[in-house]
Amino acid sequence: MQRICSLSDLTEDEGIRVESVTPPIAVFLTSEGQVHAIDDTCTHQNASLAEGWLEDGCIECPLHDSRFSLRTGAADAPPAKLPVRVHRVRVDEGEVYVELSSEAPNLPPGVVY
Amino acid sequence: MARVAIVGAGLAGYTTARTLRDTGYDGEIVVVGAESHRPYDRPALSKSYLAGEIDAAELSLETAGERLDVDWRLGTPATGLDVPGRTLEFADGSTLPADEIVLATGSAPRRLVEPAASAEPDVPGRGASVHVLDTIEHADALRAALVPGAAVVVAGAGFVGLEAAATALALGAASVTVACAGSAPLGRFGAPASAAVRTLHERRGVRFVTGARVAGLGRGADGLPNGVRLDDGRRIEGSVVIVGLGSVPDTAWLAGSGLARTQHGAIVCDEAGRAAPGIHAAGDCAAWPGSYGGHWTLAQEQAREVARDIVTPTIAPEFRNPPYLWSDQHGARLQFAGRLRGDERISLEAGSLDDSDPFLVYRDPQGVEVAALGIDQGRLMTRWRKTHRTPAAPRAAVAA
Ligand SMILES: Cc1cc2nc3c(=O)[nH]c(=O)nc-3n(C[C@H](O)[C@H](O)[C@H](O)COP(=O)(O)OP(=O)(O)OC[C@H]3O[C@@H](n4cnc5c(N)ncnc54)[C@H](O)[C@@H]3O)c2cc1C
Ligand code: FES
Repeated sequence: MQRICSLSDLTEDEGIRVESVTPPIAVFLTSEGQVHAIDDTCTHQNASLAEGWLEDGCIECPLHDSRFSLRTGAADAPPAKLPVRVHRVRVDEGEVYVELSSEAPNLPPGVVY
Repeated sequence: MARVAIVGAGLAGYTTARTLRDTGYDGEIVVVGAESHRPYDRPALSKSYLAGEIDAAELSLETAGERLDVDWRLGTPATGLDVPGRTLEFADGSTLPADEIVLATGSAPRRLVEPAASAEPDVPGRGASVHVLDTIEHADALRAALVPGAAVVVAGAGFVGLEAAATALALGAASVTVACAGSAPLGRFGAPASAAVRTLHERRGVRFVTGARVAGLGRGADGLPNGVRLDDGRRIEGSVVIVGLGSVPDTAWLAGSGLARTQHGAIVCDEAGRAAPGIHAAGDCAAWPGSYGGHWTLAQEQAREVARDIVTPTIAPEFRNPPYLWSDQHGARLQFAGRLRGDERISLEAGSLDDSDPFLVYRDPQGVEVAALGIDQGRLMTRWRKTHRTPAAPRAAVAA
C-alpha cells in the first residue's frame, strides 16, 4: 500500500486525479464517507473520471455518460465497454493508502502513460 | 410468446434491445437493420475512425461476451408499417407481426445532389470526389480520398462538417475550407461560442467562407466536379468535397403508414415515445415533446425509456436530463446542454474565449439558467447538467 493523499484533500461527492502513480488514478469520497480509488482515465476516450458525477455508487464519465461502478469498475452501457481497474483503499489516521490493482489497465485507444 | 420488433440496428435500436433484457424482458426480440453491420457507433466516423486511430471492430456497440438473445435481421430494410395490425412489411412481400414495434431508423444525411446517391461520384480521376458522412462505408471512402495534399471543401459548418474539417487537416490536407451559411460556425450557440470555435479552427489553419449558402457542386470546363457553387455565384474549388448539411429523419418508408410526422419527417411521439398503440419511436427519427433530435445521448436516453415503457408502462422516470450534445474538434471537447430560444444573455463563467476553453452560461430574460456550453470544461459541464435536471411529467395512461 502506498500513501496517495490525505482525507482532507477530498471533498464529499467529488473526485481528485492523482498523477503520482501511473496511469493516474481517481480518488473519490462518497457522501457516506467512503473512499474509493479507480483508474482515472475512462476506457472509452481520454476523459478524467475524477471530473465526472458521483451518484448511487457510480461515477458517470464527464464526456459521454457511461457509468462505472466504484466497487467493481464495470461500465453500465456504451460508449465505454471495458471496466476500469479498482484499487484497494485503506484510510488510516486521516491518510489515504492505496494498493494498486495488478491487472492491466484498460486505457482507451491512443492513450499511453 | 411476446415479440418486440425493433426497426434500425443503430444506437437507439441496440440500446432498446439491451435495456429490454436488462429490465427482465424475456420474450422474443427481432432487430431489423437496413445496413449489413451489427450495431456500431457513428460519432467516431468523423473523428478517430476517419483519422485511422481506431478500427471498425472498435466501433461496435456490443460488449464482448454479451448475450442479448436477439434475432438480428440485417441487410433487410423495412419498407412499410401496418400501424393497426402492428406489422412490418418488407420489399420481398414478407411481413413481421409483433406485439410492440420500436422505430429507430435514425437519420440520413442531406445530399448536395438530389436525388440519386450515384450523382455524388467517388471515382478517382473523375474530378473532385464528393462525400457525405453517415456510415462506415462513407468514412472509408472519405478516408481513401483524404490523401496528403488534398484540397478539402466542407459544405456546411455544422458539427459533422467541423469535425471532418479538423480530421482532414490532421490527415495532411493542404487546405481545408468550410462554407458556412451564417456569419460564423455554430451561430445558433451565440456569438461568444461561435467565436471560440472559429478561433479553434483558424489557429490550426482551417479557412471559413461566411455567408456561403451552398447551391450545388461546382464544375470545371470539362464538366467534372471541382468544388462547390454558392447561391451568390461564388465558387470554392477543391479536390475533395465533404457535404455536411445536416441530416433528416430516415422515415420516408413510413409515408403510407398514417403515423404523424413533423415537417422534417420525424415521428411525432408523446413524452414516453409512443407514436400509436404498440408503436414507439426513439433516436434521430423521433420527435418527443420539447426535445431536439440528432444527438447521441438523447437517442440512448429515449431508447432506454422506450424499453422501460414496454416492460412497465406505468413507471415514469424521476427526472429528465437537459438535452445534451458533444463534439470533438482538433482534440478539444465541446459540450452543450440545455435549450436555446435565441434571446438569452450569455456570460463567460470560467476559462477564456481566446484560449478556446470557455464555460458559458445562457440565461433567459427572467435570469433563469437555460443552457451551458463548455470547451474542455468537463467538470463544470457535468455539474451544470446534473444540477439542471427537471422532474419528468407524470405518465399518461397507456392507450389500449
Ligand atoms: C459522422 C457522425 C458524427 C457524429 N458525432 C456525434 C457527436 O460527436 N455527438 C453527438 O451527440 N452525436 C453525434 N452524431 C449523431 C449520433 O451518432 C446520432 O444521434 C445517433 O447515431 C442516433 O442513433 P439512432 O439509433 O437514432 O440512429 P442511427 O445510429 O443512424 O441508426 C439508425 C439505423 O437504422 C437503419 N435504418 C434506416 N432505415 C431503416 C429501415 N427502413 N429498416 C431498417 N433499418 C433502417 C440505418 O441504416 C441505421 O443503421 C454523429 C453522427 C454522425 C453521422
Ligand atoms: S470518454 Fe468516457 S464515455 Fe466517452
